[in-house]
Amino acid sequence: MKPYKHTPPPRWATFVLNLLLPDEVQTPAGDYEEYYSSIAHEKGSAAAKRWYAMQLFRLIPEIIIAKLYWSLVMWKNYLLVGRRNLLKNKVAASINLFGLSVAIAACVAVFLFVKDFATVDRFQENGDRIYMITHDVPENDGFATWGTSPIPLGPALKAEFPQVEEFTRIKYRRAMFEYSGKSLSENIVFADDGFFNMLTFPLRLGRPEALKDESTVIISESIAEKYFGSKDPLGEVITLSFEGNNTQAFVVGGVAEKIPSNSGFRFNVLISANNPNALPTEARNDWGQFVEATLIQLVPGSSLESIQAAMPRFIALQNAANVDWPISSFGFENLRHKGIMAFMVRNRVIYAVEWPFMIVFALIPLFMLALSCINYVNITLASALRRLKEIGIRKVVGGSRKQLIMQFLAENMILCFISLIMGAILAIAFLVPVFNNLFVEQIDLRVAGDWGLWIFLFVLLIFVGFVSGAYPAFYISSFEPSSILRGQEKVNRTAWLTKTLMTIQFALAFITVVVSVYLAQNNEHLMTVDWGYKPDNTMVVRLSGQDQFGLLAADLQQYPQIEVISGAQHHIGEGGDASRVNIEGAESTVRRIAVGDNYFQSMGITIRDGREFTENYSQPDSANVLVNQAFLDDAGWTDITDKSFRLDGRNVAIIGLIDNILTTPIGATFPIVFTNAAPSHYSVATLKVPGGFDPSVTESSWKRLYPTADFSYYFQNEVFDSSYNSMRKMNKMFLLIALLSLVIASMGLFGLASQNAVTRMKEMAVRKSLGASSANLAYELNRKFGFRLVLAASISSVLCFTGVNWLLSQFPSENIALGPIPLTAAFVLVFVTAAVAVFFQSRKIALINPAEVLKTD
Amino acid sequence: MNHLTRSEEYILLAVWKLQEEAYTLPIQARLEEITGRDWSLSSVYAPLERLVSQNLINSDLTDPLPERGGRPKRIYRLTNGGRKALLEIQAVGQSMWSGVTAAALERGH
Repeated sequence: MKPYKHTPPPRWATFVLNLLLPDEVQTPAGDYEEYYSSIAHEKGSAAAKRWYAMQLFRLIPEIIIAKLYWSLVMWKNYLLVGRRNLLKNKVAASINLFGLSVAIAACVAVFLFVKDFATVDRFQENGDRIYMITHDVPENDGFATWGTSPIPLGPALKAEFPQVEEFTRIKYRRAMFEYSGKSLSENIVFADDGFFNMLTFPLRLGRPEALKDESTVIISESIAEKYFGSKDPLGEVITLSFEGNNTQAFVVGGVAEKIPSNSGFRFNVLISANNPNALPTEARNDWGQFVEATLIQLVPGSSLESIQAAMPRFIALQNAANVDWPISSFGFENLRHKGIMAFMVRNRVIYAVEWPFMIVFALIPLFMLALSCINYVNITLASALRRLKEIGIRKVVGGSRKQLIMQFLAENMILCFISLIMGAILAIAFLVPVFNNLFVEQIDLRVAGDWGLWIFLFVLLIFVGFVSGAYPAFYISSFEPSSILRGQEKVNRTAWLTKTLMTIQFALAFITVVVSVYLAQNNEHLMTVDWGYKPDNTMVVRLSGQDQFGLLAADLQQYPQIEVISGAQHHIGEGGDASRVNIEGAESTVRRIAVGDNYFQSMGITIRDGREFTENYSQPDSANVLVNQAFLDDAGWTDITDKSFRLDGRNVAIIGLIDNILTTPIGATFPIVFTNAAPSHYSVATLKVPGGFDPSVTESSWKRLYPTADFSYYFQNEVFDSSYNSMRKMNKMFLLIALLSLVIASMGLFGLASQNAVTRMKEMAVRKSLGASSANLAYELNRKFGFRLVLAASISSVLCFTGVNWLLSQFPSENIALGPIPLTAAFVLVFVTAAVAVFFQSRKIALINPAEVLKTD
Repeated sequence: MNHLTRSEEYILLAVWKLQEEAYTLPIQARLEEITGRDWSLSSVYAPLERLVSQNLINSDLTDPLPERGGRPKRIYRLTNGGRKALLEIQAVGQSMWSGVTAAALERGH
């Protein structure tokens, strides 16, 4: 090369080159600089800069390939060494594997459920434009939001506002569904013509236009299967018998596809709201009466504003028509984005997620995941001593800290990956079926196409791998090789962290045990709580037609062993209605149960004061009510003499008082008002029968009257059986969770104790040779664990006590206070499992031969 | 015998021709001169690395030089193996090309 003035390349260029080619590669950098300088000399610096930039650009693909190649080589090596290390330390590896798999299984199962709930109604294609109209009613100090709406509101909005594209009202009724000899009571949904234009419920058979026909039904897949089996239901004629003896024939005009499990609304039998059975003709323009829901769909791109501004006009209409249900405002709830508190809306027919419950539900697996991650951190730190030499040597022969960190992370990733696979299998094969069994909601499981699940699993892997692996990796890799190899490095530097994590872990396990035992105990208590009456001798028969009670009662007269024949519209233990009570100006909402004459006698409920309904509905009892003790207490009254109040806008007088009998399985004593129901409204007949009564007596009577209708009955003492069953299942689940968290924590302790024993082997051998007894050695070895355990137990007992009792004060019901049983149980369980966990190590230490241990030094 | 690629063959020859000046820049310049095509520096490094790993050439660093921003040159030299390889290539090439003239190629037969 000819000599010329040297021009160094610009700083940015050398900087980028340094990024691409690390500094140790000196030759290319020199080449580039020399070449640059020669081009600058010949063609000027602009051309030289262009050339340099071009060269850098062409370097990139080669660099990427080289990087990939070398990182593959390194990863292969990391994984190989990782596998060897895991196999060498089998105890630690299996503890970690077990804990992580269980925790991941819980996470996956809960994720699947929470995802199902979180995506409720997201499949609704027009969901962003569909709103459910709610309304607020003042109550006590604030107001309550209801999901129902005045009957004429939907049509009025559609008629007045061009931006309302469609509307549909939802009205529920029950009817007897009869087809070729099979007759069962079904829930009927009435909807307006807009229903299928708005909501994404595709039909498997038939066309959505069938809904416009008043004498056509659209049925769900399950109804089609129930009544028609494998037969094509399309065009078949069925009959529906509504309350009030209205029987009408319908043609099956469509069969819906299976409704997704994350649908907030479902129907079995769908009929046009124009059908006269949907709403009485005189009610269609009555602003004072309500339908279950009104949905409107806006024209794309339009807003609610002008509709909202016009709502006061409708409020005035409604308030004039129903003075006792004064709506203060209307609200619009989007179908897709319902809002966090939407579940608080009363009487809503479109499901909204109970977020507080979901959050608690999601916390459980996170708890377990935290326990398992702590196990990993503790065991890895404790076992670091065994690997100090390896780390020292690797550093001395040129392993960078980054490589060491990668090595530890790789080991952790292998473990996490295996746990992830095991956890996912466990979740899908075992936990999801258990949950499906536990909840009413059944989730559909499609693993293959579920991108959400795969992304979740991947994120979980990275998250768990990093959270559990990062600290040990960074910490262990920070040791100085010189001090390691001289034998000076002490692992004790991390003792405080290990101890703190262990304490937290046992505190968490302790809390889980206490809370689970408490919840189980509380459920057991709720199941044995005194019902306040004798339910054993009452037989309950389901009715479905208006005249059924009269005919059945007349027929049953021939059996003298049936002492009392009565019935009810709402039945104790099966819910009721919400009614508004106004006591001298104070408004509140109470549960109303409409019962027939002699109902209390048939149920074996004692009337504490006054009398029960005895005359016919046409008599003055229509303005009389019975109340329970809780109602009286809430009103601040001491007796029922001459007491009256307003109930749903009518003046009613209290004629009788009963005790706080159990009306719900969770045992809360609500204020209750009992009103009188006409026999034509009865949904059940209640028969007071002697012990050992043969139900077939009633059945024969029923079959004489209704040969085709199913006979359905139960004894009143079974009314809560299904709730009790799910409570029992829940108890099992609570105890399982407690057990698992305890096992995970104990396994962590076991791992810690075994590493601890190895570390202190020499110390123990010296102690033993100086005459320490086995008990003394075990004490010395486990002293610090014992102290931590006591600390964990004390902290968490205080937390549990204050937490649970605070929660209880928020929800007044029959719940028991947190007593000594759960705490004692937790103490015993935690200490016994901890003792078992450390026992084996202590035994091993107690049996060591000091000569064997010490001879190597 | 090891079959070298064309670029490896060219580079091997260039290293021999350039002798004491056989480092990347002159090698690249010579390749461009002879083939009449653009050669990026990185397309020179890779074959050089391969030749080093096949023991056909070895390299030494010079003293740091100011025109290289204080960095040394890496001078390549043929090993005995490299010289043998060139001899073989020449022999193979000559026997392959014997009887093939430019005129005959242009004629087509």
